[in-house]
Amino acid sequence: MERSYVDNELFRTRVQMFGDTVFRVAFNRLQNLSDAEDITQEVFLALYLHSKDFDNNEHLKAWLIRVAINKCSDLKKSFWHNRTEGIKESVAYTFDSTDSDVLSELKKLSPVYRDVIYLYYYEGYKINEIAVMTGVSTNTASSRLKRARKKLGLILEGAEVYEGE
Amino acid sequence: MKGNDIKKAFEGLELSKEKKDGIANNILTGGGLSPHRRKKYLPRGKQAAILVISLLLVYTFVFSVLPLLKYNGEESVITGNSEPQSNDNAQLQNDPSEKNAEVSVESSTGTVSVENSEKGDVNSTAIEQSEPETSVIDPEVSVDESDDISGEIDNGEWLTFQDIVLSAEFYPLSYIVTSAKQLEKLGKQTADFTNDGSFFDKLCVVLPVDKPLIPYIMSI
Repeated sequence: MERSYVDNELFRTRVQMFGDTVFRVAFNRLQNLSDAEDITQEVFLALYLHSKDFDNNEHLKAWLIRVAINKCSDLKKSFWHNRTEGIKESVAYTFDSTDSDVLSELKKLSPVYRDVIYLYYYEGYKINEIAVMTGVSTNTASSRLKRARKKLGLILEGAEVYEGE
Repeated sequence: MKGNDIKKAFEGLELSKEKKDGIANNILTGGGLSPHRRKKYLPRGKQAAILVISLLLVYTFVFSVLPLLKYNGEESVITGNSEPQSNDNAQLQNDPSEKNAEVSVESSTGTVSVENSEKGDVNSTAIEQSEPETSVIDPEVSVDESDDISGEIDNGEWLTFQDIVLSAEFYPLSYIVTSAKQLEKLGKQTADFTNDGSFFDKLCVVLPVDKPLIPYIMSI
């Protein structure tokens, strides 16, 4: 598919603008930096191959988040991912101790709860927007956020919580 | 934990500008995906469908095409089933003791009876001396499938003349000799096929003995 120079520059701009968002969504889901980078590349490849125009950047961002979540789910189900063990990498990115603690506590939650927490607290989406992005009903998204908050608080207080999902 | 803590934690997660440029360049230059993800995995439903269709094709090939390939023009490669014709009147036994049997004909009734060699005289030299490349059929005798001549195996099962003729067609080494004159042409000295020692001039069937797949024919 041949694209003009303007299109290529627009694509580079979009990668710079939304690359971090896609990467965070992927890392939040997969908890693996290399896989998150791969997913980021796949999401932008999908964007490159996607011919549909977007209304605005918010529309594009929501589309990218949705695609990233789907790609992560596909990776989780793939033969490769299920039968290989990734290298444990905790050195590629440095966080301060507070961030590391928070992320490690988030890691104890199931992916669906992590999605809701990330989209609500970091991206600032509303419940109904999160429901559309994650493909569930508004009530389900609300329940997940409520449970995630509760479990996260209990975890930080040191209580033992076992994931039901 | 507060919402700000979570937000702050995620802010630390970001790709460097160089990495994002690398991703863009990879896509724009056609590098695309990592090697193990370039090939899409098929959904499990499609995999199952492909497997089932493949098995069906294999079974179709095995059970329809291969049986058509005959070994030596006679035997099936797969099943080895060389039974030339199924006939309700000829319920046949796969008993090795039938290999040596004698044929007797009652001229009055036109029936051919087959008996084990233990019960009577059997002259197997006619079979052994038969010329495998020669087949003689008396043109004066019409081989009519509706002919009434039939053979009775010693346990009461009947072998019709039609069975014998059809067997001869499937086994080119067999002979149908209808007269003593033809038997002489074949160099046979075995005219005594009847119980009373006289040669019958109606029918004599000589079939090869090296056909293990048709014991009832060999017994004739």
